[in-house]
Amino acid sequence: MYKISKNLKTLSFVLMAVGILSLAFGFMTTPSSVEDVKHQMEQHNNHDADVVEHSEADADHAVVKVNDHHDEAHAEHVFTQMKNRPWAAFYVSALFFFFLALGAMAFMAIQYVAQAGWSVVLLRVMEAISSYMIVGGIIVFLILVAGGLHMHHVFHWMDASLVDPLSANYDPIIDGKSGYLNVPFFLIRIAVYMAGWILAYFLLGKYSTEQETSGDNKPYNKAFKASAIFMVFYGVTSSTGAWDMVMSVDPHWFSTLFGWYVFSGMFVSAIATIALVTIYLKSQGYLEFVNPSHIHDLGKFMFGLSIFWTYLWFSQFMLYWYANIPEEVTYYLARFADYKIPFWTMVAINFAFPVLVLMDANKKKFPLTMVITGVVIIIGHYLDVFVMIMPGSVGSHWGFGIVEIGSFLGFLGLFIYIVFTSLEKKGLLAKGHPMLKESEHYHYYNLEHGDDH
Amino acid sequence: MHYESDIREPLILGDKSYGDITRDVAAPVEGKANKMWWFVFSLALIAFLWGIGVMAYTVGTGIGTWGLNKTVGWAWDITNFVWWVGIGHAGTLISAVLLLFRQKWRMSINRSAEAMTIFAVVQAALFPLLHMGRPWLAYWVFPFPNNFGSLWVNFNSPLLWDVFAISTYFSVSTVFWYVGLIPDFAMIRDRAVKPFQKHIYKIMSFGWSGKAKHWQRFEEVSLVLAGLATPLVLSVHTIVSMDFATSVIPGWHTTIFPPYFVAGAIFSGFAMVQTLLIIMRKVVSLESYITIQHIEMMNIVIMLTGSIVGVAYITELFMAWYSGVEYEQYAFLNRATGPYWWAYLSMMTFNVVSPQLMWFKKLRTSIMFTFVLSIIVNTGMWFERFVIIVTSLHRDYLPSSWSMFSPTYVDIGIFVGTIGFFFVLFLLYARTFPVIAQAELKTILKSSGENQKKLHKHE
Amino acid sequence: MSKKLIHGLFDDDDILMDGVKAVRQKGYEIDEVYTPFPIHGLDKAMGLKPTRIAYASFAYGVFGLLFASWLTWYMMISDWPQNIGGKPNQTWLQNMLAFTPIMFELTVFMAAHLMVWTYFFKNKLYPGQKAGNPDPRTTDDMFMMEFIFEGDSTELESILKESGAVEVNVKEIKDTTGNQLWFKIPKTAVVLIFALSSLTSCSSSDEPQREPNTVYMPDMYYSVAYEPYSADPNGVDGMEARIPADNTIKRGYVPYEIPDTNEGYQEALDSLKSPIATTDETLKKGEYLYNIYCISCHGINGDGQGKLVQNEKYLGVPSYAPSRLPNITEGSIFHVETYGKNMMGSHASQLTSQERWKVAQHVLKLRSQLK
Repeated sequence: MYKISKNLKTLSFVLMAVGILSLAFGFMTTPSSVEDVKHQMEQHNNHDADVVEHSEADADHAVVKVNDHHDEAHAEHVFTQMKNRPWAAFYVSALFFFFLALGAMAFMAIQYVAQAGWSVVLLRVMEAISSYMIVGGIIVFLILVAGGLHMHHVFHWMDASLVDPLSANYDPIIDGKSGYLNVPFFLIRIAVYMAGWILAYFLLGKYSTEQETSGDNKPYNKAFKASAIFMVFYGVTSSTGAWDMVMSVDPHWFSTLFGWYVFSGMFVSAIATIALVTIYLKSQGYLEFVNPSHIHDLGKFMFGLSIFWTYLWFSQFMLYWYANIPEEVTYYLARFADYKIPFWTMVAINFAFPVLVLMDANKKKFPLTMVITGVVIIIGHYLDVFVMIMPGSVGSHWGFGIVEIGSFLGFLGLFIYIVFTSLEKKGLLAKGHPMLKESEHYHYYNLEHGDDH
Repeated sequence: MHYESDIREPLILGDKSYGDITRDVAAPVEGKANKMWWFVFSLALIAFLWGIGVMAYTVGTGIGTWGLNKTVGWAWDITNFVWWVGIGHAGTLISAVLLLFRQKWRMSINRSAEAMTIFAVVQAALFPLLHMGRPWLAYWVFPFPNNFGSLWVNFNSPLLWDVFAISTYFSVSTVFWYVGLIPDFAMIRDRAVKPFQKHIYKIMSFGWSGKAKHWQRFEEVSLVLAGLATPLVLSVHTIVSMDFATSVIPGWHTTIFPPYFVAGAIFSGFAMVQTLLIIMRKVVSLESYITIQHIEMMNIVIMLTGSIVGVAYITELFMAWYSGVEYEQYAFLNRATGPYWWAYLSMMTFNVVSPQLMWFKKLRTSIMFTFVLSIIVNTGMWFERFVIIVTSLHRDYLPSSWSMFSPTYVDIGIFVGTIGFFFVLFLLYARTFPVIAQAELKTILKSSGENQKKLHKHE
Repeated sequence: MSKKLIHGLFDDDDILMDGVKAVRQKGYEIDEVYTPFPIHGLDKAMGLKPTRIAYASFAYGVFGLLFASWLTWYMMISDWPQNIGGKPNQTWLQNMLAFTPIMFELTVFMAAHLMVWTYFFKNKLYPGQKAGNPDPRTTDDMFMMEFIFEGDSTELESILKESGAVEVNVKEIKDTTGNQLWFKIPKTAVVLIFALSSLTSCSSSDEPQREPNTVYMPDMYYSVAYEPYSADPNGVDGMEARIPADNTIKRGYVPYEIPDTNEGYQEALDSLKSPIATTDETLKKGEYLYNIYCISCHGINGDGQGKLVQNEKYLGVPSYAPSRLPNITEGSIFHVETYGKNMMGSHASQLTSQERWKVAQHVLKLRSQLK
């Protein structure tokens, strides 16, 4: 049985405290009224003429100094964006860590469906990571509910005046989508996705516990069926969920590939997480049955899926660049205007780093290379989520400060606490699994294990 | 050494030894063709000759013999091109991707699947070649110095990417296939008694000896080729999809095209493998090696990729509405309810609905059902390309340019001819090549042979 | 003492593996093992070094990538830049997205093909090579250890038998005439290549074609409806097309009435004035467009030294400098952009009149900086 170490527990609590404090700081430092914003802007104007540059970059801001009325509207716009910032930072981290758990869940289900033999020794790790889905899912859902209650405007389309033909803000494009993008239907959809995903987690967990004591393979077969059904559900909802939770932040924009793109990112970062947790546990003397071949296989997945992610990124980016249709390229123009550094950084580190480091077959079995690559992949894909959410919610008023880093650390603490406490609940070896022996004996043919022979 | 769980079904049925595998694989090459083979071969040959006739007519007379018009400037030819390229995806997928995923069931089907791939790509390449009108100038697609014609080739054009992608794919697949074939040719060489046969297989086997160092390199080369071929196979259909997706034509310009074309290609490729192997395993008695389990596995892949394609269809449809772009919306409405609704309906039923029947174990382990379904799937995939190409083009922005497409007998003749050509090649292959990668298959006999598994269990 | 060739034949791969280990433990070096299929771990048991062919493949792949980068850069950027789809076309990096597929394909092409060639070369495999295995059964179901041995071999033979060899054969090596040419091109190949090349070298005759080809896309040429400018017995004035109402222009079009003649040019030069004021913004736009549509010939400074001129694809492109073209105004520049002049073609279909005016502003700016 695994017991979470005291240090790790303390660390997770410290991280959570940092998260809460920095979030509180974030909410306190946002301007409380439009007047504040105007005041700040005036000061800003006095300091330098930066605003002019912004006005060129950001179409929304193109009319900064034209007249009083526009000034007013602009200030209000800026006010909304600045008020969104702590919420958006909170949401990016909440979503990212939820995706880690969901991706691990999908990976686990695929192992069942594909009847994979090698990965059985890692089953408990996957289960523990998926267990974060419950808390993580509830937090994400609450943030979305808060949006529906107009506590924040990360989701611009939730503003009722946009779909009111009589309003000055009326937006016919968003109104055209209101059959799909409306708050009640949106929340119902999210609730259904979450319920389905979490239910599947409970079922797979239950069957794998039953399999430990059951003499036959009945629970295993049930888990197989449950995984197949989950994969169908997930196959659809991973796309629709990505449209709802991520793509609708930019409500005018659309891309058919988007769902699969988000999936590939969440999948590769989830596998990196599995590798990191496994290597940590092994360094603590647990998981004695995990051998270098298993780590090597996780490395192969990280390598292959990093290329797959880049492939999808390229397909989407290149096709929009090539055709150059205004309503499509706006998405990337917004990112080029204000997010150039995080955008290109994340492309570079999500592609080049894992590909170059993990290409050599022998490198993939070394814990140190795997840890470094895993951390880089996780940071890279956090940045990916960051660049997907931020431009639509805070525009040019983004930063990478206390609130962003703090909320990432806070969720990291929560994630560590939940994952490692749920590891305590079951044995680390999925006993009774029909493929267990295959997994324990697994030795990739041209890999030196070092400890044998 | 290698342990395999009891719950896995055996992949080689019966009590086979290494020698049995040798004999079974060499039998079709050493024996005489039966009547069935001659019958199918003559049929294919007639279709092929007919195809040669109409191709000659096209080249001699001009592309005006085809049914294209100024609105639908791409139709039958590109449909067939994409269809054949798509079919040509399963082989490399089976040999490369399944190798990387350590799926042992690939071993008795990869040889034939790769052969099918190569033959299908040959068919595909014929269509752009003929569409050039002056095929003897086809080398102009390569980057020659510009005093040959005007300027350099245009590297910004997806059509040129296609040239590079397909020639790389074709040549790398062939080499991959041949590297695997060499030890098996050597096996036939060492058994051959007729001097002519021995001589031919001596040339074909490149003097293979089976030395330990050679096998070590062989395995490394196979692995690296698999690693290279996996992204390659993805890139080929991706680039084919970019022929459409880089344009601004509603119904073509959509970002999901690259992965969805790849999924569709695997889908149709596996269906074609099923069609061929179900016949072949019977005709050359390889039922012990290409078992019901192999067929079931391939059916599961068909079901999976069919579902991916289905999700993509629905995504496209939904996004057309969600985008709020009226041209997109019209393009998709027109697909479903316009004059080509029957093509759209066939595509949807054949590709999305019918593979879902594979959820029933009884159906996916039925040989007859699989055979019928594999043909249905390939018909459906043909319609998919037809829908994408013709329905997107036949309604132009200007209603005065609206038009319909109907193929001429030349169009149909070329298509039938390529099917004939394909079967001629495959039938010749089945008589002269070792149709199962016997050397590789021998490596899994001990862990996955039926009798060997039983012995393990009793130990 | 003469050398002996000792062959130990086994009928099972596991027994062979144990045999290899046993023989090596006793201090014998195995010269070769022939097997019908690859056996995992055999190379290590025999003490063979791991193969480095994968690293070779990586190097070939890097070469392919560099080659493709050079190819696309040389042809599309350096030697003959083309304006494709109105995208910036003077730097490789800006067009890299479109070159990525080619770069990928050539990387794979080189990595795969050159690796396989290396594999054939290192294994000495080529068509016409003699079978290298001493016993034909080793491609079927037999496994063979081979020793080239000098001295008393009884111990080795007994080890082989003990470890399960079904057959042990000892042969004296008699003839060791070396210096065999290892690579021999078979005659058939020469004949084949010769035949093929003589077939393909048959050139077609230069006779002109007697009959025109069937028309490509017939209904483009032979419309069912009346062609817009054809005669029409039912039409007004016996003509299919109607004359548009007076002063009709197409949507968004700004009419330009000065004709494309020498007088017209002079008129534009003298009296045509830009309708838009010169601001930083219009200059910036003008520069952007100039750097896509004009730069390849006129050069970034307007000195007539664009890449196409430097590479001698086109000659005689003048500099905008007052010393070279003393008499140009924004009106004449606009006129030339609209109609073209000498070698230069019209740009009216690519740039709107507003855009042409902005380009003209940029040209004047360049002119002011030239001497």
